[in-house]
Order: sequence, then structure tokens, then C-alpha cells
Amino acid sequence: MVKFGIEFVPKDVYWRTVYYAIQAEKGGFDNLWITDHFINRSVYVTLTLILNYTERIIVGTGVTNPFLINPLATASNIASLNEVAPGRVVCGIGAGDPTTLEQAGVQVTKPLSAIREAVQMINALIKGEGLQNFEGKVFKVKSAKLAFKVRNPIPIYIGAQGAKMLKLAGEIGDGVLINASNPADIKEAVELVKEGASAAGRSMDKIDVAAYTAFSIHENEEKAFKAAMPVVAFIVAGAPDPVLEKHHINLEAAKKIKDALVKGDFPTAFSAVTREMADAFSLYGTPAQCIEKISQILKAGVTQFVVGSPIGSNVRKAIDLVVKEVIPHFR
Amino acid sequence: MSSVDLSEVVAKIPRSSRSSLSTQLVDILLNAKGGDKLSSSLAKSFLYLWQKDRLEEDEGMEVLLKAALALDADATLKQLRESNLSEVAESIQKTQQKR
Repeated sequence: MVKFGIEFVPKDVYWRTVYYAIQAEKGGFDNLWITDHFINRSVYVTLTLILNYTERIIVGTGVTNPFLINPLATASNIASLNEVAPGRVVCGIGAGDPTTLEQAGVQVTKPLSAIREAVQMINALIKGEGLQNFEGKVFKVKSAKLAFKVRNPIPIYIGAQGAKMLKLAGEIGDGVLINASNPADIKEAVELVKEGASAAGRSMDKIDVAAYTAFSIHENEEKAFKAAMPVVAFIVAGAPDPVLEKHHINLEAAKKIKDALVKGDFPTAFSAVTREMADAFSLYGTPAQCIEKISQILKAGVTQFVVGSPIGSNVRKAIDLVVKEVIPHFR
Repeated sequence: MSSVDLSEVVAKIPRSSRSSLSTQLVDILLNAKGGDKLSSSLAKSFLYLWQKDRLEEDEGMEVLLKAALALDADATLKQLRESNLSEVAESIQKTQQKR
């Protein structure tokens, strides 16, 4: 049976995010992901509070990155979080959001090596093995070990979009968070994860394959589309030309959005988002339309469907729609 | 508004109105500007009672009203009137004026 996950961006006061988390757990979601950007509330503070107000849902970083947060610190944070609710914590890690990292003046170098080494480092600390004279291409560690025991395994999910990162996720990840919303893109991504797993001699049964979508639901399709527009604008602005061309998106129109975002002219940027762009980079619509699109995605071999930001124009009502009309269709 | 005053007000809210009213008050809380103005103790009580499915009980309604009034008093009073609870709205307004 497919699992349902939900993502929240902790950009609002903590108690609102925790309210939605409780709502998601009551509604039958299996997993909950909190994004990690330094401009927002701390992912670990948010997750700690969520664990304290929930009983069952599995929570994780969605995703942290090894460039701004050293993997040793991530290992300690994740292990500490696991003490709050043993067995209900996973670690999502990816190359990070280039825009936020650029703002922070952090250089993203050798992302594949960085993720491979970060997973190795986090696993070594969580499993109690520690690191001695670790010499990676990106990270070097003289000696590191947690001063406390982690009593259960903590799965590591790799956030991935590009072909090489998807293969790496198949090779070393306990799960993969596929950063895409379009069924064709997700199908292609799952094949790459399978290639990576197969090359490493791993069975796909061991890998939780999550479609991490930009999702928007409303009883009125136009309103679902409108709620998706801001998120789609940012995705279009950050997408390389080949990706835009693959989805038959006019490069000039995309440039107009990017230029408007750079100037901080959000109304112009958001209103320039077309249906083609939204179809390519988000999953939006009425409950019936969302069910149809999710069904297509699940055929690709996805084991977890993540309802990602923006979720809807009114988050509480949107979660309610997913809980009452979408999830029951798949269970 | 003191908790004693609000508990008297809450007693006037019929059980049959509580499900829909609690949802409307939650929407005020979730969508009001300045969410950081809510006191830490009220936020914690709100989350605890939500987790335990007790927002429609007397204690839950009291916390919801207190929190909604703190974040957006006008919208809260308007909602009470729209929910045919004008008497409750007037009681709250009178108590607020006394203070």
C-alpha cells in the first residue's frame, strides 16, 4: 500500500505548523517532512515540537544539505531528535537549494561526492562506529564519534532530481525523495534509481521511493492552479534551459519570470505562470483530478506520495480534502 | 478577559454549535496576521487540546475564544454573530469594555 507524506515549510509561527502536523497525523498521513532553509524556522526545533504533539507519524528533514550544515552536526541533530521519539525519525539530505545557498555565500562543490560522504559520515556516527582520519573529496574528519548511543536504525533519504544523484540514491539511500511532480519525469527518475540500485546489487524493496511533489488541491480547479503559481514561478526560474525545453516551455516566458523574481516583482512573476508550466512542475487540481494524476505517478513504482508545498490556498482545508477524498481512494 | 469570565461565556454556547464554531475559530487563528502575538502558554494549550480532540469541550472552546480574541477580536466577534451567538458576542464585548 502506498504511503502518503506531507511537507511543510516552517515559514510561519511554530504552533501553526504543529497544528497542521497533528491534522495530518489524525488524517492518516504516514510521513511528514520539514524543509531546512536558514531563512525559516529551525527544522529541528519544528520537528521536536511535532514529535511531542504526535504519536505515530514518521518525521524527517526534507531536506537538509551538507554545505550549510556539516554532516557531523546533522548526525548529532538527527540522533538527538530520535531520542524524542525513537524509530519515528528519518534523515532527508540533498544538495540544497542553490538560491538560498548562494544568498548565504556557500559554494556548492562536488554535490555527488558531498552527498555520498555525508551519508557515510552520518551513518558512521549514528551506528556508533565513528570516524577516524576520514579523507573524502569534500569532507575531512580527524576523529568523530557521538557521545551517546542511538538505539535504532535511522533511515537516510536522498533528495534528488538529476540523473547522477538519482542513481546515487539507488546505490546508497534507504529512500529517495524525487523532486518532481510530472508523471513522466517521475517515471524517468524511478528508472534511474533502479539503475543505481541494480549496479550496487540492491533490491528496490529496500528503498522507499517518494515522489516529492509541488501540490495544490481545491474543489475549484482554477483556485488550485492559482495557489500553485508562486511555487511554480520559483521552479521555472531555477530550471535550466534543457529542462524547460523538455517540457515545451517558452524560454522567453521563463526568463520574464526569472527577471521579475530577481527584481522582487512577485505579482508579475506569479501572473506569468502558464498552465503548461504548472502541468510540468506541479500537481494541482480538484480531488478527482489529483487522484487521476497520483494514480499515474504510482504506476511508475513510487512507494510514497508526498503532498508538498503549497498544498492549497487554505492549508487546513486542503489537508482536509486530501484526507477525506484522496487518501481513501488509495487504501 | 479573565478565564472566569470566559468560562461563563462558553457555557452559553450550545453543544450543537460547537463543531462548526470551533472550526471557524481555528481558521481565524491559522489565518490571522501576527501569529507570534499568541502567548506561549495559550499556543501550547491550543495544541494539546487539538491533539486530544478536546477543542469542542468547555476548556477547548475557552482556549479557542481566548486565542482568537487575542489575534483578531473583530473577526472573532463577527464570527460569533454569524453563528447566531450574538448573546455570546455581546457578553464578551461587555466584559472587554469593563476592563
